[in-house]
Amino acid sequence: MSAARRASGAAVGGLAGPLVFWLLVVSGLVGLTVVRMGTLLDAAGDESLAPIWIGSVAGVALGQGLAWARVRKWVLVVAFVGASPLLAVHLESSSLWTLALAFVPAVTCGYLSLSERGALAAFWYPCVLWVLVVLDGGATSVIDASGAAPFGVGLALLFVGFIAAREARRVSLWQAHADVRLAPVTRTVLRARPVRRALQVGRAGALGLTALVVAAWIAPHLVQRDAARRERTVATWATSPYASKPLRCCPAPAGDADGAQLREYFPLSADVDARGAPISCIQCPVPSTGGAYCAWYRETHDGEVGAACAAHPAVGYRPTSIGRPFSYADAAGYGPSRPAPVDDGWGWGSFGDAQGDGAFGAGASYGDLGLDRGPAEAAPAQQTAAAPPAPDPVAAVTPDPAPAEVTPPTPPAQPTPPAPADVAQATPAAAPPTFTPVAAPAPPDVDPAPTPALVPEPPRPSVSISPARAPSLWIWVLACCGAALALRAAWRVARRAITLRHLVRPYWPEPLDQRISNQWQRVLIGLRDAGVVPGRDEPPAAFARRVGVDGLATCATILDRVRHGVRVEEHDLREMSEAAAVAYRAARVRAGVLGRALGWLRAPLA
Amino acid sequence: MTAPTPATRIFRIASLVVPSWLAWYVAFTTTHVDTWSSAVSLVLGPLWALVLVGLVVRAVAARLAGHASAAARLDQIDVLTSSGCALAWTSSLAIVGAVTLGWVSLSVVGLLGTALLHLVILHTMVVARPGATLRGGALTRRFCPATPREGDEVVEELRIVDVQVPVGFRLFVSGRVGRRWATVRHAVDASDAGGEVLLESKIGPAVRGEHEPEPLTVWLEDTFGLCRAPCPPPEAPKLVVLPRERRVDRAAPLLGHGVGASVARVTPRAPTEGHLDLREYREGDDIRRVHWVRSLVAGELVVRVPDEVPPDQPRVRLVLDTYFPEAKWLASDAPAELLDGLVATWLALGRALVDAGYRVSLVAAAPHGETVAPVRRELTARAPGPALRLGAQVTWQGVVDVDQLLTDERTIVVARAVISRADATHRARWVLVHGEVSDARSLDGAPVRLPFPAGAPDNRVGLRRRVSLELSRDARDRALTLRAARMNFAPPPPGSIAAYPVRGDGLIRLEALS
Repeated sequence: MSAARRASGAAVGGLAGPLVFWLLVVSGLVGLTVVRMGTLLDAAGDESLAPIWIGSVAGVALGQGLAWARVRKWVLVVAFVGASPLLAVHLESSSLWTLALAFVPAVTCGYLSLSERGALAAFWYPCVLWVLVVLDGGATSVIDASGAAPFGVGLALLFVGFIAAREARRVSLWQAHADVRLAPVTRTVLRARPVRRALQVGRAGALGLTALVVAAWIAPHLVQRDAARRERTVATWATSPYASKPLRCCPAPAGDADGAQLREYFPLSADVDARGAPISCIQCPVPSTGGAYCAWYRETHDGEVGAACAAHPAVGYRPTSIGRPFSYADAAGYGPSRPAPVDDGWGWGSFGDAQGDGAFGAGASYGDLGLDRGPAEAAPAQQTAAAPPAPDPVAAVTPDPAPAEVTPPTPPAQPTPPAPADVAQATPAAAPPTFTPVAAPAPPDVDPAPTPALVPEPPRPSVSISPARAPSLWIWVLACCGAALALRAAWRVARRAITLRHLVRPYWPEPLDQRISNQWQRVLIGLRDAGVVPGRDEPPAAFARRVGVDGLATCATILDRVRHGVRVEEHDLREMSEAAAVAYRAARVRAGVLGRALGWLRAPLA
Repeated sequence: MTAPTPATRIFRIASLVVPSWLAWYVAFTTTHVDTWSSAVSLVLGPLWALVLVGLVVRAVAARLAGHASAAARLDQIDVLTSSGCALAWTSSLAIVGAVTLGWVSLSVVGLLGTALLHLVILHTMVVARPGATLRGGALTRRFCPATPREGDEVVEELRIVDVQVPVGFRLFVSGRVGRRWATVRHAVDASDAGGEVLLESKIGPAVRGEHEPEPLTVWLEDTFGLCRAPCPPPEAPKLVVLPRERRVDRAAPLLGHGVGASVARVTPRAPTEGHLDLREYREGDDIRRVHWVRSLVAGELVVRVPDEVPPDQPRVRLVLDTYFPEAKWLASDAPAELLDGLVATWLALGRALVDAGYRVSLVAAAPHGETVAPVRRELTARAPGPALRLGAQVTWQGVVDVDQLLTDERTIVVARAVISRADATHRARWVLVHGEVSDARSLDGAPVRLPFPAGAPDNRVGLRRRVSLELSRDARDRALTLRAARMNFAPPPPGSIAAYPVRGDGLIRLEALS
């Protein structure tokens, strides 16, 4: 004889928890797709989206399927441990690797979403997708609070909903499964308080939003590095193999411990170019003397450093629909209404510790590598600006095949760094630094002798680092959701009004006994607004005695006569209508203001 | 619901503060961001402080309230559930991971979890005060029918009236009447509580005996399953389940033999037999008694009236032997099921003897206050109530053995075995009951598959281990019971009978022992 018995009256499991989890995952995937929509439309496309979709959906389905099949956890652990060497050996393709990156946590979190105590761990993978939506839309060093707010609210509410749904499922399983014999149970709510259900939902929402505020306030600071280290870069100049033209150095790698970029489980879109390859640039070594300069620098979120990030399509910065790389043109105030001077589109700047003494300097240049057009607005912490050192000869470098739509600019013949009065000369490294070129972009083609009219204004630090977003899509989505909810509420109100009207005065002819029964239904609707329901198999007369509402006893008496087949006349219908009206009004008064309002939105009616 | 072990309690109480402190210790010693530390100190610091203050206040309040046991005092601060503990540690690990790896998602997960947990803990400490749930409300427990018969379907009714369940909480009720009864598990939302709710559970079939129902376990738990607060259980009336009256298959083996010359035998006599007197015929006299010869002589009907000395109705003592001192140490249902068979056989034999014209006295050792003493009840065909009540009262006991129940009267002993001195066995006739017991329970589940759907609380490893130990102990004690049930201290004397009560309403079969 089996030790575990199922209680026949209890529900078995619940679907709300798994469905909310699917909603989290799918909405994150959809959001990620929308954010990276621009790259989908490029010729190169984003090769990471499809593996992420496939891995996520298949993984969650498999994980939840294994949980439904009651497979124990150790089976999963053994399977993963056994499969990991195979994955490491055979997954050479980046797409397959991305697929594996998505599949493994999706299986784990899908399995844990149905477990008793793994809800928070299961929430991690959908959170990764949602965080990617937030980070991919902005710069890689900061989180844009205003743009991330709708996602944060949605994520917090779904988190709370997921935890609550999981608990509801656990309760239903607790009532249905045990090693001991469980008694079948039935629950009859004879009198309730409808307002409390709304308060339950409100309490859950309030907790979720409060938790969101806490998380949103602290989370960015938890993962971002020290502000002082954020501006330090360790790149330097190097020369091209084609000529003694300097090439841009790569920014600090994402894996650098001192890196300023935010990180996530999946690589962010700004970390890769359109082909998923690292940014095409010269990977420069870290000089030991500290006199390093980088080819680009960024403006901090709070605008401490007034400089612009150099960008050029040739070097592989990938524009996106939500955010696009910040360009020097933007910093200089150029835009559609004020086109930039015709040049190679290059912009670069230097920022670094020229003396190796911790004093950082900044310099800006536009249109010509090595030409210092003027000092940038330095942050209060910066004292001097340093010019880039003379480039050193380097080994041959394979040029980077630029995208078809980009015209690789030609570099200047010889970079001649200026010598402003407030610019300290950099101390070149004692020995030529060695480096490993990643890819050599075609040097920009600039006018070696730009006219004064082309000299741009110094970059203004007030330019927001957040690229232009596409908020209109999300606003439309929210508007549609709000409209759907409003329509649903309006339909419930209309249905109640139509139903009550029919119960009082039928739209079509009905026999007397049916009209008497309609009046009784009307009273039950009013009593339901007050939270009172008849018990299972409770006679109308006993129900009327229990509730004690005016007019209800008369209605119960007449209804009993109809149910027992006693002949009824018109005066009985009149008496029933009057008593039902009195009882309905009394019940609505008992419901209170909020109960009456909620009654208009309730379904079913009785 | 089994009580948690002290180690579990200590772990749960420690999980209120240790994971958070651990996470933030790692975070503070690793990162160095002024705005972050100010955010933590402005937001999470007050939450921690409030949780600590709440724990201290509750502990002091418990002490002042005079809670008798340490468990009751610990209940005031042991507010986390197992899910809450898991969330506390998971969020702590997520924060450590965020600091180490720098992943934004881990920081979001960790902080959402930590914030939600602390807010729920504070909410629980504020609204779920001890005893607050039932103020102004009532939680009553009763059984329908009030006095059922063995095997009847019993419905346990829990009526919750105006019980104030705080918003965001559920009221849980769990418990059973006794070991052999079904367990009830209820969960009532706050939206349903506050009014009137009727919870009905079919806990039958009824088990014979006088039962003091085990107290229900009542507690509040929030809708996220993170925190809980105990509530006082409702009182329940004693439940008396009377034994069901059954029939023996054939009473002849019992009645056809006697014990010595003092056994009364019913001598069949025809109406024309016996010493006769003559009188005139009266309406209603048996026509076979008409003396035709004298009637012809007298010219009227004359009947013969025999001497109507009724034969003396034989008496018999029907003794139930409930002496089994080892039964209270056996963690199995087998001893109770054996006793049910004994009682059914005992009452069925009594009924058969009454139907055969005997005057039957039922004798058994029954609880009498704090002690156990012999009790005697007369069994009659039309008023079996007192006998049935005695049948509901008897339990296994280790005070009164069968020798103390034997007298010089004609006695039939119903027992599981001959537990008597050899020289005393001849003083009674023995009916040895070979009752049926339930099969041993087995543990569900396989090495690869869980016994219940994923997410069911009864899948927990600790619980499964406890259940496995209980089942192995149950199987061992069942075997011991069956062995002890057949262990005769003395050989059954001649004329003994074996009774085979079939479970359910079937007839009880009697066979003479060779």
